[in-house]
Amino acid sequence: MPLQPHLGHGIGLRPPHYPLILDGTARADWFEVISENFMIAGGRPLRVLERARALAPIVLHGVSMNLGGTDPLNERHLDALDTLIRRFDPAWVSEHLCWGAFGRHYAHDLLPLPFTEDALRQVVDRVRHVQDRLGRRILVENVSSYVTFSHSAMPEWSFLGAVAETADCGILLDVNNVYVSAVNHGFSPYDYLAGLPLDRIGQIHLAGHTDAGTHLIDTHDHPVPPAVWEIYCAAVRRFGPVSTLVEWDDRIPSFEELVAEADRARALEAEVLDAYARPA
Amino acid sequence: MPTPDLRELQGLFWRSISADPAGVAPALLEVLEPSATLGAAERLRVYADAYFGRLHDVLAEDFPRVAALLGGERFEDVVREYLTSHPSTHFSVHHLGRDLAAAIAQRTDLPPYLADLARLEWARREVFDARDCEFLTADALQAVSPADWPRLRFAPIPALAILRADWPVHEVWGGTETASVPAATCIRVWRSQDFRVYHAPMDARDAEALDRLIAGEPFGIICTAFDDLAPLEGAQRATALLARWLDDGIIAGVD
Repeated sequence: MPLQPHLGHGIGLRPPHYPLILDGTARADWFEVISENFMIAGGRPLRVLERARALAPIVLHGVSMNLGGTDPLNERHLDALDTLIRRFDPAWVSEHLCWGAFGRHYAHDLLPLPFTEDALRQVVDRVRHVQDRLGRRILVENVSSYVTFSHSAMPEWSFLGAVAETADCGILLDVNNVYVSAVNHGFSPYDYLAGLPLDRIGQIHLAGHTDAGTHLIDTHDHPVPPAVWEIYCAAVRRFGPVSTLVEWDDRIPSFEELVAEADRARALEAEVLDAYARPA
Repeated sequence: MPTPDLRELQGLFWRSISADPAGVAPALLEVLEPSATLGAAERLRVYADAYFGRLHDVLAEDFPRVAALLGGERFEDVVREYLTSHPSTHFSVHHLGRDLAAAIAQRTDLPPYLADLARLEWARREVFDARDCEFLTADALQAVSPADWPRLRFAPIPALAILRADWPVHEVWGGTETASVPAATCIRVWRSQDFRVYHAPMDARDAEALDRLIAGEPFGIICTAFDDLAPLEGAQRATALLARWLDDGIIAGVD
């Protein structure tokens, strides 16, 4: 029984492509939007989201719930998310496995957690609170990271899996983030996949990154590179068909180029699944 | 040194990436490992650079004319000081620039019109996301009998703001020139039915009339903004102004 319905291969909806939504010509299996960008009173973005919802299923992807933070969860933020959910009926809701605020100040970034029992308890409690408040299971996404904490007691994949199992949430597996962190920290991305529970993956993210020479940065401003496609194929082999989305946040290409990347993901998924289905 | 708990760790991390100039807390370095290519402090620097870079880009997008007039280095300096004194307090980054105009006004080393220009850009930002509403059309007023007009009360759209400035910053916004002479200026800023944001300067009479409309005064009182003119001219000006407001889409309804 899959954790979420398989919506196919979607596209992260960003402002340069809003005109295609408004004129009804944008075609995609589904759209993902950044939740906070629509926590507004009115205007064009909400009109766009209404139209997008009429064209295809949508998914709300949050960036600043501060699930791994130690400030109290922001109930106004949860209220705003709940309002958005009631209005737009997303297929599901996701957030990041990180922290992003301290002392009521927001970094608007995805900051890293140490993988400790202390942090695990903290995140699990907060994911449960969010799920109880929203009345639905959420997905949590692994982030790219650039530092390693010496007191981490487990690998990242064990931490992510334990959060999902203990809080009873799903996983949004970002294979680009797996690759970026694997290079930055020197672990195998395939160990990462092998260490995740089989029945918790609700969505996959694909994206590009920037090679800074000494490390990789999760910039979402390049096509999905070959190494990330390889990990994607390995993820499909391990987890089966999972709703997949191509993310671009900077130097955003034409909608056609995004569709082409989503189509490539669709073809690769079919190829991998076909190879499995073929009699030996 | 004992390992910091999660709360302590996040406090150290936050201060290390948000401080200007950036500085790494020694207690944090104790628990950060180097990679094969970067030292622990350099790895942390990735986050400090991203923190400033991301929020700088948000402010540059919300204040494009301020950023252009100051130029790269000077705008960066303004952003760094602003982020130190006004770190983001809202879960949505859309609110980050709320106090930038006030912060600019505190500085004596910047052009004197810059705070007003920032206020104009922020007003444009705010009406962009303001609440939606219905729009009153001129056709809807056709059935009103002339005798009832003085009692009509109009409701403005939520996406309307009035900006009173000491400088003619609408001129600065629209061109490449900088303002050299202060002049009391009143500007209306609004979002049209097609979601585009506009602004336009108003003379004293138009501004007074719009103030009265927003205050809920009836049309008869709105028209007194033109009392210093000859009666016929005053009536014509008031009627023409109402027609322009309707055409621009800044009136939501009538009572």
